[in-house]
Amino acid sequence: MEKSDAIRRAMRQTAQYELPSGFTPRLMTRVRERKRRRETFETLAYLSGGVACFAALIAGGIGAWTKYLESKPLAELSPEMPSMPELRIPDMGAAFTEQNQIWLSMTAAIVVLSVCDILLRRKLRDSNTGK
Amino acid sequence: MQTEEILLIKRIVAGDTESFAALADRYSRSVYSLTARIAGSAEDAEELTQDTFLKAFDSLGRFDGRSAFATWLYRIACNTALSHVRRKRRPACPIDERRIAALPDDEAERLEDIVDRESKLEALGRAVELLEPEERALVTLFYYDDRTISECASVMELTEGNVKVRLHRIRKKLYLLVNELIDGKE
Repeated sequence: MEKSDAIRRAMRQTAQYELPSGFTPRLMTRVRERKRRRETFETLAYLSGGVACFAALIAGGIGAWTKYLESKPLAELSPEMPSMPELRIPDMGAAFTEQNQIWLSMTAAIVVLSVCDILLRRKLRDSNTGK
Repeated sequence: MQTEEILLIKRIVAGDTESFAALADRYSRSVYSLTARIAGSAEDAEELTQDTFLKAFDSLGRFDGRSAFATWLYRIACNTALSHVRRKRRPACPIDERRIAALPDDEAERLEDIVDRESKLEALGRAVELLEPEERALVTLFYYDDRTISECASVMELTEGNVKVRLHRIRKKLYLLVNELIDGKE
């Protein structure tokens, strides 16, 4: 495509924009500040993530303790030893229901985390092009 | 240049923040000129240029090198300046779209003759300032910065065909605007 010389000349004739002096030092001050803030945020995010995981682990442990060990003796959860020669399937009905609740809550947590992951990736991708 | 630049970017991503000053020194003038022409204001241009470089700094780790660094940086500059102009809502260009469509293609090619014959470069310069921000961005990249159609397409996130169509339409619009400005003066 042929370039119009008139448009080029007209644009060069209009006021030229001169970069103010000391631009790079001013920019670098902001860049250093930005980097410091980003590092602080990352440290806090990792720290709070670690604390949250540890707290979840402790809470899970306490929950399991109160639910399985305090309210029900271990012997209750164990299947009865079949008396020979009669073979019976142990009754695990109550334990299955409780296990299902745990699996369901874990599945829900995984779904929520996946949605957050997709949203974060989309936000990062948009910020990559400055949108 | 490309290899040296990629090495510089890798150093910055690895944590050598001070090397970013070299990139800023290399591109700040052209980014400033581009944002000033899109925003139409030197006052806003420094802030927009700083925002552009800060966004580039934040996203440098995700720069994949598929396009040149300059193209990638100009894309960020264009998006930043255009968002700023849209927020400010400058008055729209006073040319009716139907008049642009009705103007024959070869008539617009006379723009060069009018300007040469009547020494109306100043009117053409003012007409460029009256264009829409996206059009000013394209005119600046193509005519002022001497970028190729392919580079313009990459910066503006358009196809090459689309860039050609838009540039043709801009020439028609400038022809009408220059005539209007000259008639208004006389």
